[in-house]
Amino acid sequence: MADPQPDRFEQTRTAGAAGAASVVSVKGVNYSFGTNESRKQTLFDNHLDLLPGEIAMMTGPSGSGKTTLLTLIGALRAMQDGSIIVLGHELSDRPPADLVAIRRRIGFIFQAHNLFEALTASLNVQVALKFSDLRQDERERQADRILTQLGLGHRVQYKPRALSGGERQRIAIARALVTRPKLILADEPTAALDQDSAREVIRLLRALAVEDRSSVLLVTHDNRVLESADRIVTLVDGRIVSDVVVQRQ
Amino acid sequence: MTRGVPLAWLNLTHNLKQTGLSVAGIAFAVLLMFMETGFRNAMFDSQLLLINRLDADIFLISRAKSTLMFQQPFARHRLEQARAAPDVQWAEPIYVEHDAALWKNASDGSLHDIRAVAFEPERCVFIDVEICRQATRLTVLDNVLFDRQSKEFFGPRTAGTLTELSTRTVRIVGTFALGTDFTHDGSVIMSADTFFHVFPDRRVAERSPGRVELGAIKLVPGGSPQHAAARLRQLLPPDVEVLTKQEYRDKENAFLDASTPIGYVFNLGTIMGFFVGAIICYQILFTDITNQLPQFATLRAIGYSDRTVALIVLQQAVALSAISFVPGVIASRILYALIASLTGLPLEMSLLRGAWVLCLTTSMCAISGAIAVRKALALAPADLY
Repeated sequence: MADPQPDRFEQTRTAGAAGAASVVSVKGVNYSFGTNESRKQTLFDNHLDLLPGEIAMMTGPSGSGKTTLLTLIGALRAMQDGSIIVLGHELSDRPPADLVAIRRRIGFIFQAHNLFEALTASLNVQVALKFSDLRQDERERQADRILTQLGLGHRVQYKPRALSGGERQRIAIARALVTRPKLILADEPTAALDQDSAREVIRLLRALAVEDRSSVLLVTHDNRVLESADRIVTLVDGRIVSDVVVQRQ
Repeated sequence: MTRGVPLAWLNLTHNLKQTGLSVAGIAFAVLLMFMETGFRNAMFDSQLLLINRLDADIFLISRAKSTLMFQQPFARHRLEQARAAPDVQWAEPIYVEHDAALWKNASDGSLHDIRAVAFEPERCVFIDVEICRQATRLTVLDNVLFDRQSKEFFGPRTAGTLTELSTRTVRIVGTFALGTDFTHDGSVIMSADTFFHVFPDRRVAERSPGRVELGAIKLVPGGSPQHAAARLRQLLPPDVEVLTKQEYRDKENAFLDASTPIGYVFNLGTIMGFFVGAIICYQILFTDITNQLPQFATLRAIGYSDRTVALIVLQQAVALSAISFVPGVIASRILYALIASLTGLPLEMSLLRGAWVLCLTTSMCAISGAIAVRKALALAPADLY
């Protein structure tokens, strides 16, 4: 991964500084895959805090543990050691049903779009509104509004097969954002997008961060989006080796 | 249904070609089940054809008689005793010959087994107006009515045809519609006098000591068959069995079910159809889910419980069974009509029988769906990253 432009960033250690107001609070997290002789530890004593409205980008070489940490924060894996508090909920020792409930409050953006081919763009987005209290017409309006914001207003009734890779990825992003979650976890969300679409996605995430005080934790190798980060967290060999706040000049 | 998004239905129907193939597969299983249950029911229904056409509320049969197919007469004066019972309007004898009745094809002279049924034409014991209207013609000795739904090999059956029944010359004076069953290819109805004229051995065996194959008892209007049957059981000695019409139907069905392998064979065929359908349905769902594993994992990642995802798969399975049932019914009805016209068997699709196969179809797909759910939950949401 290329380093962000040094003249635009000021590096400052902030790990553990946020305290109780954090949207995400990671403390002493270790994680291993496998058992007995095949056991392999991938995360080592990690600490991280994510503040409301903050966009943090996580970088690091492949196999450094970024995705494992992201899935632990997203309540997609059971905790082994340490503590992670997400949106005020401790994830350790939680029954699976509680983790499912917590996940409903998180927006997930995956590297692959994972859209249902049978559903239109609008319906693919509405799938995420299953647990909202909105009326059906409001769901449709909300889904179409976010698709329009992502430049897909003219594609709401299209099925994924009829759309480009970038358009599909934007639908997946719309699906994550439509519930206006307080925490968004994204894995390379802009990798498949052109310059303009990538900029639009980041602009939308930024708008959500400002308007709703939503926090974004984003794994990326995309230099085009790194410059929009409030913080850059770097993992190497399962350890957060740097956690820097970016102050814009 | 996913609230607001009919995911199961759209998953099932978005690819019309694929949907068509899936529906054809399940419809084939529906057809199999309908054919097997149809043949089984036809077997039972056909054995009851004669009983159903008799205008009786209660039947008397010999205690030793296991089924209408086997001859086992009882003493005729039991009917006279029955006539004395309250609520009994009339009690009439029915004579049936299965074994000695040979019909000669009037065209080619070939001989064929036939069922000969006889009654006293002064009192029409049949429900069919067509038979009763022609009953007076049977008072003439050697006149008979021929079942026009009998197999073709019996030859001409028009009124006026002269032929032989067990070497006695008889004249067809009219026809009626009864139908064939698994043991009888045709039937002929005549008076008791003609019956004993054609089958003189039966005269010796039955008329002299007074023995009869079947007793048909009609109650006065409003009479309760159950109550009347109970009274007759008290009144008559145990050498005869008193049965209401439904009890007699049940007895015949029970005999066929327990004493012949036919019911078992067709039931097995239905089960085979069920499993063939279940396998087809599972294969369809499995392929569809395998193609959408990441999508199902995504649903779970964004907060759908495993139960909700399972429900989507089950809805898809049940929807598949529902839309496949319609072409299955249509194809079955066409085949029923074709087979009925070729064989004369009473292949009927009643609402209850249709509902039974619908129930089997739904269960078949629901079981397949329940197994396929495991596949939908196979990919952990964490593996999406």
